[in-house]
Amino acid sequence: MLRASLTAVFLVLPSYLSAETQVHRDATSGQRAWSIEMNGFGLQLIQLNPDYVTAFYAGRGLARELVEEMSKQCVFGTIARNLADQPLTYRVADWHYSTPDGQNHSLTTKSDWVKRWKNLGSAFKWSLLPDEQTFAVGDWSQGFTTIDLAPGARFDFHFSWRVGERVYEHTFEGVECGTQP
Amino acid sequence: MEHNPNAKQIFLSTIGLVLSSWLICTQAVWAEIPAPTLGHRLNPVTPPIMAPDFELQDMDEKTHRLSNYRGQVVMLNFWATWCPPCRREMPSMEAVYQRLREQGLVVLAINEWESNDHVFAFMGQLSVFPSFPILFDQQGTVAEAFKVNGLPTTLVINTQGQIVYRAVGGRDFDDPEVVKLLQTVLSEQDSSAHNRPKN
Repeated sequence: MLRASLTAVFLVLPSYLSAETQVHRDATSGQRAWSIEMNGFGLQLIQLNPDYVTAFYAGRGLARELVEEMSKQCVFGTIARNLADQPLTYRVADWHYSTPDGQNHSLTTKSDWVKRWKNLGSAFKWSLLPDEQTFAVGDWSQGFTTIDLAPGARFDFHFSWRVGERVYEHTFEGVECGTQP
Repeated sequence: MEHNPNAKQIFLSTIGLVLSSWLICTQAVWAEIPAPTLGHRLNPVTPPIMAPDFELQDMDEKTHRLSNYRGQVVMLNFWATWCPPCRREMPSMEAVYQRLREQGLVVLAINEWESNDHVFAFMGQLSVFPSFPILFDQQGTVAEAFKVNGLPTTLVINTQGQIVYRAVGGRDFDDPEVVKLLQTVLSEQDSSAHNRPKN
């Protein structure tokens, strides 16, 4: 009985541990990243500082209003991966963040941004994480995720994904917006 | 002093270009965090989809039309210089091109939304200068026609002009499994050429 229980604990424990959020902090820059590999999904949020975001958009020769608007956002480099052995789907519209005052907020999706940018005369759309993707096995994607908060602000990031018929969700707690180095 | 309304934009663009070039050179931001390893799986497109035709110019302003490559196997890669996995997979694309070009593999790398000058400067930073054509899709119309959602995306087009494999996200194209898969598609080219009626 005891042996069976111990075996069960050791079988369950690794999957529990692997479900923990990993927080990486770069020793030189102080830049932080939150990541998880869980139930077939890999997600990584990489803190970007406002200067980098300004440089990125200004460097594309985009409209001044667009550059200024993006500079005010809290932006994360985002890597989403299908680690499952079957197709995996995510929808940014299903994701949200919550601020310390207990309020939930929707994310501004790539489509939302592209609409706004079109009004500024820009067709640029490649930088942002696609709104929705169904990844085949081994597929992955990289792009920016924007959070409408000031530099240094803290929030919890709630996200979900679907593998087959099952929907999974997870939260990165205490995520921090980048600040100037 | 006369106020020039474009001065701020020009200033921002210049600063942005300098900073982003520096960031690309040092890969200072994204590269500090461990990046995912490049996989080697290309997913079959079933049933195969007919590739839409397009016409784009390369760095020497030579026009390339996809349908002119009919009868050959084409690896079509959508990319941009600022996209980290695009940069990482580029040397492996050149390696597989060198390995299989004699067998008839064509590689076309379609750059999204960047200028010839910008891409040329980036190429100078690579350890190996790509010998396959770099094409410019400055308005993103070709990417849209191919329903490309994110960069990089790579498609393998068979001799009949059908998309037979797709990879979303960076890959190591010189991996033996990818090479084997491409050789299989190329061998289908040989057999279809063999079966083609002679004029």
